[in-house]
Amino acid sequence: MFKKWALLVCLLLSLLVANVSVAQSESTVMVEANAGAQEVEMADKLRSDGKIYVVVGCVLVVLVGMIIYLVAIDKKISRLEKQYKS
Amino acid sequence: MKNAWWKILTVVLLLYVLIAGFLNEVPHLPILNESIRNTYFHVPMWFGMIILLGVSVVYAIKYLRTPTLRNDIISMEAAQIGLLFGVLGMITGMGWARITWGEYWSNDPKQNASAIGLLMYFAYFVLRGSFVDHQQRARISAVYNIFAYAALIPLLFILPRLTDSLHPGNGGNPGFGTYDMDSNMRKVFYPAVIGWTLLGIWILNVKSRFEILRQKLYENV
Repeated sequence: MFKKWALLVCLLLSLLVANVSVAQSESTVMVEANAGAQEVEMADKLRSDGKIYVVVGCVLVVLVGMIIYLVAIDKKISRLEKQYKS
Repeated sequence: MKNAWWKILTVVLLLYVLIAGFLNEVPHLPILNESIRNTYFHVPMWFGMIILLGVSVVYAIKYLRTPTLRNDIISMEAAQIGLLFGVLGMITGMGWARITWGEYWSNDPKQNASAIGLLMYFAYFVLRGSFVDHQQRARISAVYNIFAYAALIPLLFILPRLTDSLHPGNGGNPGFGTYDMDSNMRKVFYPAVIGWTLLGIWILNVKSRFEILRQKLYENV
């Protein structure tokens, strides 16, 4: 049942992706309109220092930790379901 | 964890989003600056909320057609996780608004409307909690669920567009193309929406399986 939902979500959102090509032409106009504002300050220093990788690494650790936890709970419930059936 | 292709897809998408989300090239826009990357984290929360609440209302209708314990539990859990996504979207949105619009809460029509929307769903849980009888609780809250979702859609997608809103794509002619996104950002944004939503569905899967198991155990005791 959940597989069906997951599939539905994927299908739905691939429809959105189809929107990209249409929206593309509009967004190029946006980007060109902003071409004059090239001097906008971005975190280029952080990037050239390579410190951004520390941030990415940190966030990845959090995500991987959460996912391992979720997988562990998932497995525990699968085991309980098996026990309940037998 | 059998047939877990979509769970693996979730992990892959989210890893990609977190890596590419921080490292890819984004448009250089004034005011937004680097905070434009919030698009990969704040906006998918609301997409996820709408989809999860949609699942909730579908199972509410399914419950009204065939009143099984399972339909009721999935409907309730989906509303809970949808609400969690909504609250996370609200918090991340307020943080973002602080640095771009100047205030955490500037009474933007979409901010107000989403606050009302979340309150409606808090009321859903208050309503659920106020019944002793299982069947009565499931039936009446399923009916309320349908009304809540039907009210949420105009609150979030129609009313803010009728007035001026600080949110992009509102006030005037709405559309996805008017977001300040280029094709580079879309490469991360769409996987982000799918990934975060699937994470919500995964949590829903785990939570409702647990709850169904618990109810079955109670019946047998």
